[in-house]
Amino acid sequence: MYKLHNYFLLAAIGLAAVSFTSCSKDDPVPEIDQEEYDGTILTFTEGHYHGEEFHAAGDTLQIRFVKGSDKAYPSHVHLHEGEQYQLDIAMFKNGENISAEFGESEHQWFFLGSPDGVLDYTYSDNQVGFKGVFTVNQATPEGFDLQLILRHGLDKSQAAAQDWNSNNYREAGGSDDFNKSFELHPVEGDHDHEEGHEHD
Amino acid sequence: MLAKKLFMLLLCLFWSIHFGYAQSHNGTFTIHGQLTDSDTHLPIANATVTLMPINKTAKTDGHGFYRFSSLCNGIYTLHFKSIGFEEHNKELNLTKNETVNSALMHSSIVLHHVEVIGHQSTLKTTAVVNSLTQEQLKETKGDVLAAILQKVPGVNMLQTGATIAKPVIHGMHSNRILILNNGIRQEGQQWGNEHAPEIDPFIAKNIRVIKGAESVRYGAEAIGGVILVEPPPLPIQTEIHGEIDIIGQTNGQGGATAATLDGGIKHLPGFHWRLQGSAKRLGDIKSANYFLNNTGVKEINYSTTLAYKTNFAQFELYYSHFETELGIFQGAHIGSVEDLESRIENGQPFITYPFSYTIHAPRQKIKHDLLKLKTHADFENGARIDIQYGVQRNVRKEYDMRRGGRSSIPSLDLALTSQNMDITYDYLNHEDLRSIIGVNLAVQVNNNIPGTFTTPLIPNYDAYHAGLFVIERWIKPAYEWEMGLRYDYKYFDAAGYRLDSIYYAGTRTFHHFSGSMGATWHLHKTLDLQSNIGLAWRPPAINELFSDGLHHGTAAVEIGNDQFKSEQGIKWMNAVQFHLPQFDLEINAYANYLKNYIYLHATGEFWESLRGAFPIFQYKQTDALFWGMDLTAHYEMAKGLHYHVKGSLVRAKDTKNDRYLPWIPSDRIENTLRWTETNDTPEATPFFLQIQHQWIARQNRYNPGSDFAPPPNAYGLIHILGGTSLRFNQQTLHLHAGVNNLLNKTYKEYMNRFRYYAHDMGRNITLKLNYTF
Repeated sequence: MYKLHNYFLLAAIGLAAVSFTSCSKDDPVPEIDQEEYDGTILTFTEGHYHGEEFHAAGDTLQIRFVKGSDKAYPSHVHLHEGEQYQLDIAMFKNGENISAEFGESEHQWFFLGSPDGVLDYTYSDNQVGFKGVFTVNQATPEGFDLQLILRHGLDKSQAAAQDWNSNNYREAGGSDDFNKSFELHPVEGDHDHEEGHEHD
Repeated sequence: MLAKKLFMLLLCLFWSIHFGYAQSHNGTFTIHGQLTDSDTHLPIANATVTLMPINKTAKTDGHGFYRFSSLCNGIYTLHFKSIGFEEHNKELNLTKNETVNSALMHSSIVLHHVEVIGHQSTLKTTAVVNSLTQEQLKETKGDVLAAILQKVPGVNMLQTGATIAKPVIHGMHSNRILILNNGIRQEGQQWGNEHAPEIDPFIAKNIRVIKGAESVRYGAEAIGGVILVEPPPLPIQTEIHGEIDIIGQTNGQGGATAATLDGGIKHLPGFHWRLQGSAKRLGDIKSANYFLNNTGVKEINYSTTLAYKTNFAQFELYYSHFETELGIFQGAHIGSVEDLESRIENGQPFITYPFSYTIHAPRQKIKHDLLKLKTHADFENGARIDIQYGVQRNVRKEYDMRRGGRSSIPSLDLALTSQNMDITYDYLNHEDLRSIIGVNLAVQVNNNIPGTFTTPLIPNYDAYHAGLFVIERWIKPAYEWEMGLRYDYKYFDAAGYRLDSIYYAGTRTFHHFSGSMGATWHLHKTLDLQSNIGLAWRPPAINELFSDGLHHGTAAVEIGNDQFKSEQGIKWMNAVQFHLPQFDLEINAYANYLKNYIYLHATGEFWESLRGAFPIFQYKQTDALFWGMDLTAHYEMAKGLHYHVKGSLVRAKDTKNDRYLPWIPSDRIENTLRWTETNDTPEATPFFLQIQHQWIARQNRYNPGSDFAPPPNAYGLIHILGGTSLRFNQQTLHLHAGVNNLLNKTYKEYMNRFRYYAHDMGRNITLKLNYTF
């Protein structure tokens, strides 16, 4: 029995010695973060409705948000009273448009900060907001911050998710995928400033 | 102030009971003493002492002590009996309280054959150890390990919702406490607050908590305490025995089941085996008023033990597999601080859903395998050696809500392999002096499994650890002394990528001495004192050294520091145990000073991303002082009617900055009244019924602004429990039924990390059946 014990002991120590020396970590592999993205481009295109269909055929205006900055470029833009604009939102990563990744059942854009009656918005893509139409009902003396929020994982059946400018959108659940703002100034047709220019 | 009042109250209680007892002594006496081995002078445990002519018997405890009380004066004979020793009688004329110590000689009887059935080592330490009774284990079956451990005063849990719980000893958790699973140091990703220990509580038949800093015996990281989870010893018979558990609960609308079978082989004496398995399934947990969406659990565990015993050695092979999938409350998924703030303001989820068993992202899937080989040998001179090797593989996958169909790809995918080799040699050095020397070796390899499309929180790393210790124990009838010294060496080699594929790598070496000194005094037959002081340390955890990025679970950026020094602690632990026939009292008091205490500090800065601004937290080091008290007492108010009280308080401060430390359990007290039927019959054990009230104070020791939300209000809960056992032949059926949170109270627990989003569990009715055969 002493022999058996010694064999067992030797086997255990041997196994441990072999195992202890034969292990080491793998070389790490860099991961490309798929949850982060590099930039967001908002494109406003002037147009008008033909029946129920919107024809975006006029001037365009782009606003860019880039990773690492909390500013919009340009940070102050003008839209004209009485005009309608199609807003297309595109998310980019490594130069590639990844907007298709934002599934329609679990994402929705909200646009907050507009004074009552100044703007109207209609979702053109099944209540997601990557494509929609803004109507500028009236000019305002000053610009205001238009906050753009993309929610992920929300419950779209909730009352808080029914309006494009729902202030209590968080009550529909989910989390922020995008939350930035820029200064929008609805102006009359003969306003001095040129569209898309930064104010300061 | 409250602590001072409590202390004075307890002191008064102690003296009044002591004097009351002394005065009621008139005409009744006690006999107590210690039984030792005449050769080795070691105590003899579990020996039978019979007092004639009244035919009273007592068993000696682990230290060889026995006691008879409430005796009239007269002539008595004490009869001592233990296997392997010659029986011995002592006569005495009892006119006062007597101490009768005795040493038994080894027997020299001729035996025709000897069957070696082995033995299990007892935990010999002067540290304060609290064990869960078999009754407590039966009553808490089906709970997670941390919830079971809450039966021990001073042990709480840190929860992440209803499904994840970690044990907290005297305010410390994660890498500041050690868990030994069947003798092997449990190695998972314990650095994470939302990472629960991967242990099947159904395996455990012996759960003990060492509250001192027992670094000398168990190694670095035992800075706050040690938890020992052990299966029962294998049976000595060859017949097949076992037990089956069936547990049902209304909250979660599910339950658990477990089965154990063990036996031997007639033709292979000395060989024994055990098979064990358990399964658990729960759906969404309900708070008092609403279901907590996505809080279901699926768990399946199994283990096997094979053991072979000879007349001088034992060999054991143990394998266990733990596998769980658990949902994380969907309402806790946040994308920014604004999300968090809006939910805190609302106080409960914006949306609630009906009950469901479905588990979806966010969720965790964990597998943990453990293989252990152990040999134990006894030598003729009373020495013994234990050699054990353990290998563990922990695979943790955490799934988040992601876009583009990536919710089924883990955001965190870690594989940790740990190997341990432990050797201890325990021998009688001189008369009453016993020595233990030991070596611990460990290797860990941690790898991030590529393909998560998320920058890992922690790097790939190798960790090597070696420790050498010696403990000297001096055992006398009235007291025991213990001193220990240990040296540890730990080496880390890490490499990984940060955000934007920035490579980083580094090595760190830590080495330290630990020490401990303790004593137990048997001051009086009713009074024991214990004091233990331990010098402990722990190296910084891997996340404290290297994390640098967004932690999605907390919506915060966490930054480590690879230049951190190791934490060094000194814990002084004291216990007073007072026993009377109808009254028991145990008070533990401790102070734990930690140098270089690592904590997460809010910098006040924000990290800008397109999703919003995230607060930046940085790991920092400071000095901290923890102190507090635990109390348990029991009083038999009338025959069959028992009152139990259990309470604890913890105080913790950053002494450098004079600030309170976060996530420290608030003061709590638990009062229980238990009535047990007094007639025990061969067919059934007495029925019992108990009512318990738990009161948990608000955590007022908190610095405003140091947390996202202030601590929740104090709350009280009422629980009831009843049970009985039915016996037929050699089989027993245990039945327990209970209601937790009887009044369906709405409350939030400070130590629940999801208190920002939702309330804690509402009423839960449980039914537990245990069939042993």
